[in-house]
Amino acid sequence: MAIKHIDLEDKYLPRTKTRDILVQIKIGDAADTVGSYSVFLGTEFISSNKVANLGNKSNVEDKKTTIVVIVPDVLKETNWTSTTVFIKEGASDPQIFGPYKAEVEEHLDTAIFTLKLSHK
Amino acid sequence: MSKIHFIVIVLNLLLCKTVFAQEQSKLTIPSSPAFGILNYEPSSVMRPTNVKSLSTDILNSFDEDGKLLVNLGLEVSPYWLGSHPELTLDTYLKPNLGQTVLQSFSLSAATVKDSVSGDNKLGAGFRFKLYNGEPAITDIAAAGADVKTRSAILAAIQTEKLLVSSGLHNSKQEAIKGIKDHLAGQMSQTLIDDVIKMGNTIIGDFGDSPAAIDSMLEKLTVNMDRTYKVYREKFSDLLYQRKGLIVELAGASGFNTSDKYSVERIGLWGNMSYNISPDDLFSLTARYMYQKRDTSLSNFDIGIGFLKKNSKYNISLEAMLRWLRADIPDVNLSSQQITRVEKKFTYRVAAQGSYPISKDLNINLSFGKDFDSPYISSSGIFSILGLNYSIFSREPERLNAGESSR
Repeated sequence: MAIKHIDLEDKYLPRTKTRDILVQIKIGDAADTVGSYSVFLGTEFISSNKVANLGNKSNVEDKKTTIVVIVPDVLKETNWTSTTVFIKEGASDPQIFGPYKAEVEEHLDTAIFTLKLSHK
Repeated sequence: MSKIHFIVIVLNLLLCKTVFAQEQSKLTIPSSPAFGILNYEPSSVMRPTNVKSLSTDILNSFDEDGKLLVNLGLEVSPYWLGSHPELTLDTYLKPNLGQTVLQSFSLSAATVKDSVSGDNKLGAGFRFKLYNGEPAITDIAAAGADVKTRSAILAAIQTEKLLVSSGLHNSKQEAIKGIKDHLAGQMSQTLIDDVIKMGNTIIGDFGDSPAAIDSMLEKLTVNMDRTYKVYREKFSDLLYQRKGLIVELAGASGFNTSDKYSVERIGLWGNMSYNISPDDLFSLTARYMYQKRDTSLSNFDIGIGFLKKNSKYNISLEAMLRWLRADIPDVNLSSQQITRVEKKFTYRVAAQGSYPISKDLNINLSFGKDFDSPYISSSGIFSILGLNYSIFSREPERLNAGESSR
């Protein structure tokens, strides 16, 4: 039994100056009710297991957003785990990061996805 | 060697025919139809879990001359070769017809060398469900909540790692306190105390540099994850406990690869089972089997079964009807080559029981009447008393009356 770390980096450039930036995380491979995630902006904890509001462009542009997603493998048919990050401002279509996928070594192992997003 | 072990071994030697004496149920769909059609369980079975390993396994199934290797088996569920980021637990547990087929569809293949003819045989089969019963939603939700809470603890430890790497927390004690603060109010104090206790247990093994604190938090993650495995296991097991109706279909063909891949066997199975409780299962099975060698033989069977299982004993009852046809090469009175057609109706009834007489020893009893053979006349009556001795198993010998395995 083991933990698999998946470290990821990407960039999200705010589209507006005033609208709040919202982060939503989905967990796939039927682990959506057992996985957990936390969102940080810089060193500030924003939220766990719910939509995270990062504030507007001026609030994020000098910081990095870090998203930690814990995905336990629970299906016997597969050891695949996955997560997708959606970021949106206002009513615009979200920008999608991922889906990020990882196959853990054994049934019931845990995948830990850590996504760091810069904003400029 | 204990006295009971010695007695069992002697009994097994004396009753060597009955050591394996448990009449196999005819009401089952073979778990791997390709193996079933060949009546052969390969010593090496490849079960690829992703496209890359499937490709490798297929390439490794051929020799350098491009010929199929023998004594190989392959089982693969195409849908599960890749990740499904859109698959929610709700869809998984309550799939529509198409999704049920996708989730349950599996392919199997096997190769074997016929010890009599020396020919190489290939079996290929499929299996899928049309309906997969009703999951225990309430129990699953409760077990899922337990797993989620523990995932949140792992997330808290991992986020603490971020705070340490960013220099916000500079000592091991601060890191442990950070986890405690982060979890406060999210879950029971007992759960939080368990994490802190584990943290305090390993804290002495690490220094105070950021790298050492990071290692300590990683060790804490691994330790807690190991502790929480039992909750994931319970949740995972619950996903596969189904009540109600399960409908499953399977098919397989056997080919003679030494004879231009000619078809020698065909099998089609259909099974409907209904769990009235986790311990009581009714099943209705139909199957068509065709075999072509010197004599071609086909039969259509339909039957019902009942299985009761619990921790003390297993009982199964089954009854099957068979219509068979045999096309047998023969010579008539004028010495002309003819094909003699034998058509027959026959039936099978069987009862089986399994009961543990000690923690290592099961007694099995099977009796009933088997199908008549198209070639020989016999009463078909059988009664078999057998012993199953197991060093490891503590459960009664499992019987199978159309029980649908995943």
